[in-house]
Amino acid sequence: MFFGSYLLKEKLITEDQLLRAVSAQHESIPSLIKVIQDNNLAVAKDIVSVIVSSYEKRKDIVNTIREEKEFDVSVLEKAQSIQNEKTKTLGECLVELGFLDLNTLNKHLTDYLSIKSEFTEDNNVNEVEVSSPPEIEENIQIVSGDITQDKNNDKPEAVQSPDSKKDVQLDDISEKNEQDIKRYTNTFNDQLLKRLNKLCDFIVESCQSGGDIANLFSSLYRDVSVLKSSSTLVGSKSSEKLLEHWEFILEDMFNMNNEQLKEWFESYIGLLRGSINYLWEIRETISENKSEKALWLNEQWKERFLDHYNKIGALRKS
Amino acid sequence: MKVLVVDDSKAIFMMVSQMLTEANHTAVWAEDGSKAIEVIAENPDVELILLDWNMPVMNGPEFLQKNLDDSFTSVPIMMMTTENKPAYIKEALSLGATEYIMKPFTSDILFNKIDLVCGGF
Repeated sequence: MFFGSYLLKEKLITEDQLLRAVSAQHESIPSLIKVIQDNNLAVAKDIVSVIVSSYEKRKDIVNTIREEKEFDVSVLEKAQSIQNEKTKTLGECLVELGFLDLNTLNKHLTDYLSIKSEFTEDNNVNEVEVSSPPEIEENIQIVSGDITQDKNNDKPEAVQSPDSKKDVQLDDISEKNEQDIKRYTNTFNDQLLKRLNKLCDFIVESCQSGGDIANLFSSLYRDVSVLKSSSTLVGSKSSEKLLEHWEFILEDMFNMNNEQLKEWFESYIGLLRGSINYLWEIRETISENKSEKALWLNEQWKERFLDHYNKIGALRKS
Repeated sequence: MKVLVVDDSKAIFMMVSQMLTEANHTAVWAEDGSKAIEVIAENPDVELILLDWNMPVMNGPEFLQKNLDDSFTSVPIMMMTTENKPAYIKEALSLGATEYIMKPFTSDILFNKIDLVCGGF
């Protein structure tokens, strides 16, 4: 059941309100071409060529890109991912239109997720990917009032991610084999931790001296990519999700000049250092216990981590 | 430390070489990826490779790919390029580059990056 149907069933909104919210949601979908252009995913010549070809052959942009192969398929995927990210959720639209208040939305979103979770388990729905550590998504919504977390659930089909994710239980965090853990701990080793901390120090020094932060920041992006890959390998969903936020934030910063980067890092270097500490804590737990489950059983840690995670998430949206 | 600078621009080599020499390092030059393979064989004491992206004969990514195939060196490789898009960094990384430096760069940044690559922790 989609979130909109749930809200109708609960008589929280009317059909007319749902239609208007869905319409507003559709209007919020940014043009794929604009996404490609704004994010410098392709050169102007190729973009124009796709537009012309789409017009001449009377085909939509996605199919034109796929068939004409003006861009690499990864450009299309990246653009669709950004498009997806920038599209408002149904919940956001309902709140913006004044049909629901934020507290009501959050309460019912939580109820909806738990019903959906039971539903998917009972019916053994064939959704493949485990989305996040146990209860993370619900907690994120509860802690921050984050109404965009349910994007995969309430988006119109046109922009819905093909790999819709399933809510998971604590038991879903499986132990990984020794070999994967060894590869992960070898990659994320003392040296890399020291390198990350040193990189933060260099960035702070550069901020103070007016140095070339952009060049250091590319090293940071490199390290985040390496860490994200190794977190995926070992199934560390919390690391992966945190790094996914950072990767997105950093990709957005590639268009900033040194002055803008200076301001950014001066404000947020503390959060970056905080994330590094959490990533290391998770790494140590996985190294000892073969999974991050132990951390999620610790309520205090869970609360601290989710608070931090939400701050990074808010940063990503800003 | 001996550093191999792989760049088709002699001017870039001279500039980087000067930065390195002032910090008591030495620099050797190769004008493309293919020449670099020969220089590596002749200079087993090279400890770092600075590799340009766009070069004739064998460019940076082709050099990295060749090293993935033939494993002729295990020395850390730092890509130096004007390309600053995330996709380029990811590509270089996937081909085995250890670090990425964007041109133009100052000696401060170069030594920060060398510090990050070669430890010294």
